[in-house]
Amino acid sequence: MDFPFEQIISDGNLVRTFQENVDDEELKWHFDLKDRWVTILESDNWMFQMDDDLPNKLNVNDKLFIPKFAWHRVIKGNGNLVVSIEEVE
Amino acid sequence: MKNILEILREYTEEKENPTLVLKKNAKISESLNYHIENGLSLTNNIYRVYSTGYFNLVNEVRDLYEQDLIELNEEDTLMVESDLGKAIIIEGQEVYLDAPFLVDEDEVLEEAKHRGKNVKLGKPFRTSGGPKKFAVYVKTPGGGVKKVTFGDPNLRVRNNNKAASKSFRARHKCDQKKDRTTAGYWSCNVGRYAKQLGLSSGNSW
Repeated sequence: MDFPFEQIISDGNLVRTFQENVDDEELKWHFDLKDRWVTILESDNWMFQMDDDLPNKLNVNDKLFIPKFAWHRVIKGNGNLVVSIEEVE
Repeated sequence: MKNILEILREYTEEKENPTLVLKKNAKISESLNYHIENGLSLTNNIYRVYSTGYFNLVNEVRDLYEQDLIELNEEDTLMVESDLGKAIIIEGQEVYLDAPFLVDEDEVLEEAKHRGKNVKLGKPFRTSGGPKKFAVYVKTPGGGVKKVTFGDPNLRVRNNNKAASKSFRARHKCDQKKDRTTAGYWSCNVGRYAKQLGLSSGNSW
């Protein structure tokens, strides 16, 4: 399966880069199987939306908690979006 | 990805066919206000399909429309005049009317068998990558509920191509298909639900 991001592992965290030319139709609603903390490293007008909530702008250094099985998605902004993900066992 | 012509076409259509325009002052939710402020139509509902937020917005707009408090474009009018957002219980399970969803091939095979069609079990009839089959629950004129299955293997590709879309509509006489309880109606009008179905375009066929 192709993912709409590139990923490296840094200090045990997943660092994902969504390129500015990513097709916004690939940024689908989904949920994950583990709880996770997400730290925003780079973002210009990218948005984040949890199920049944309105989208919120992602700012650098924001830290979000996403519970497992919670539907969510990102909405494309300008430039790249870079996030660091810490999965919680 | 949308090309510049598609973006321009959508922009022009939105300007020529405004929607979600309040006619009078009315108390509205934060989510409807968000759609109005961002120029989003009901067809481009930002919520995940089948989520509470998605159906709440449809039902709120329907209420306003029925009180003549909001102006809608043709596509949004068709949505609120349908049963979209209304739930019923079938075999103990809550299902939503007029909301197309993807069905897996086992379910399609099972239905085909029930209808006496000669299908070979275990023989995949999807090509690699999988043609999509969809289903939708609709109310029948007699007051019952019917599950309509429809779909096309090349839906994604052709729906995004304006010429192919026009050709499809002409070939299948879509203008004459008004009966929501038929597969033909839904094949012709699936573009309205493109985002829900993961299709690449909101074009009607």
